[in-house]
Amino acid sequence: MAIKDITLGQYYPSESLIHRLDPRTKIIGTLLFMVSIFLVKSFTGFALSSALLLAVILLSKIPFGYIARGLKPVLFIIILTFTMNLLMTPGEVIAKFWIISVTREGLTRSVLLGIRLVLLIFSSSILTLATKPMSLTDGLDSLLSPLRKIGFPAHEITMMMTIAIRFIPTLMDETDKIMKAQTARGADFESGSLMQRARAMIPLLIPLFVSAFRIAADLAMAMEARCYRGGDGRTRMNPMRFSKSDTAAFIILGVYFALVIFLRSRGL
Amino acid sequence: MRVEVKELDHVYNPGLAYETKALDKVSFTLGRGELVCLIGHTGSGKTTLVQHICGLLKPTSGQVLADGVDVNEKSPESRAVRKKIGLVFQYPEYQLFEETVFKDVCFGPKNMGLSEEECAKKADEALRLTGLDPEEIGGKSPFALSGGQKRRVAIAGILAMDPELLILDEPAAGLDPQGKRTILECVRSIKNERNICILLISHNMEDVAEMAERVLVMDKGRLVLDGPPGEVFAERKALRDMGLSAPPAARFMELVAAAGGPVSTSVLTLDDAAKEIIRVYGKK
Repeated sequence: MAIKDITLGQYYPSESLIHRLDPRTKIIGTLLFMVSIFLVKSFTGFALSSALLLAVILLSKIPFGYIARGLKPVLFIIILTFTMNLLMTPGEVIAKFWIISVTREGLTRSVLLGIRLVLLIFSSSILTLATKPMSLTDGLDSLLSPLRKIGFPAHEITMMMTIAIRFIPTLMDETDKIMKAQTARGADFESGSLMQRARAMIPLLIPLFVSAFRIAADLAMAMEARCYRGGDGRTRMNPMRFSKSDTAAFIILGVYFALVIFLRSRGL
Repeated sequence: MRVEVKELDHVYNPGLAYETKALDKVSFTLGRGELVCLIGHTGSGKTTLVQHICGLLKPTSGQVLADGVDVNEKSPESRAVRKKIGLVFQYPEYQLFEETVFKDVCFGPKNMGLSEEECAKKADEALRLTGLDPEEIGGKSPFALSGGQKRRVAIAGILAMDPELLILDEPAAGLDPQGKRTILECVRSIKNERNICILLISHNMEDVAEMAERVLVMDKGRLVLDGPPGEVFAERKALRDMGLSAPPAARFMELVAAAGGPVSTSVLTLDDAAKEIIRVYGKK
């Protein structure tokens, strides 16, 4: 199934320094890194960003191939934007075949854009590979909680995200099970016209919905039985704490960000 | 139908951090009219194994031959042979989806390309065989039935396809004693009336001792024991090491023997245990 190709949201278990960082540090760090990628306009700048990212990848002990897998679903978009920029940018022509011409500006621009997209995907992949989905939503909860003062239901939204993320694998397993059970009864999900295939989904979707509702009802009852009533005054089993490595991470990020802005102001 | 499982290997998530070997060189043969029980600790590979027999999972290596045809090919012969193998999953009631019980049981035969009348006939027979009255519940919504009834409807859905090999994955799991007894009686009557081969996965050693003609034991993906119940349950120590136990009747007789009673410990069922006790202590 195609869903399995997406690395986003797939935690890679490991005991690395990056895994142990506070989720809030990782979320803020990833956001800052993404902003910095849009500030960078030169190869020197990208060399700096890539170096930082490479250091993080090495520290996280996640195999490089695992991170690169996240590129697969967006590879087409990357190639498309690369080609578009390569061929459509006006400027000094350096190569020409028939009516297609490549300009120096186009080449620079498309390569920079390619690097930018790859860095974006890699950095977000590392965040989700090195952070458990649950700590990710915990981190978001804590980061968004100041917004509660203006009436934004931060806790409710992150709780919904937590539940949604928690039940993705459960529902995937359920889908797989029902699909196999109906296949064993002769259902065919793979051949036939579009209409036939849509109809073939009924024996899969109805039991899946029934299951989803059953799971939701059970969960709601279990939460009520534990006196859940929202975010106010709720404590955590594993409270989040900033450690020395988080401070170090923020210092490195600060230095990196200052360098990026310095390079940009110098037009490099 | 004769099913040969040859040197079956299966690896989940090959190449990933979660790689696990679920089946390791599993080989055995199932013949016509046998009632075979498959036992093993949770995670020993039972469900993975039966999914291979139906061609739902592709083996990493090895093959499954049903009447000499590989069940994992795309050929029409392979597809035809797969239709003769019926698998009832764990908690099969979660696969019910139609508006009425009757329509749901017809789903399988309809997929086999049978006519309306033939489907209706098969559904009727199958429901009766599972001890349900088609007239009474055929028109009801499957979601309105009790747990045990739902499960029997799901089993009927497979039986309606006329399988020559019927595989049941823990058919009695999660039912109350009454529901459990009905399901097991239903398995017995299927065996008697259709004389097909039945492969039953179970965790309940009492049921296994009472029903099985042959027992297969799996441990960590390997098939470790294969033989008649008397022989398999004689391997007490091996079973205990695998996290399995002997049937309660056998354990009771062991306790009696340990306390000095001159009884035989090769007893498996409650009936035989009662007879053995009468034999030794009854008449004096």
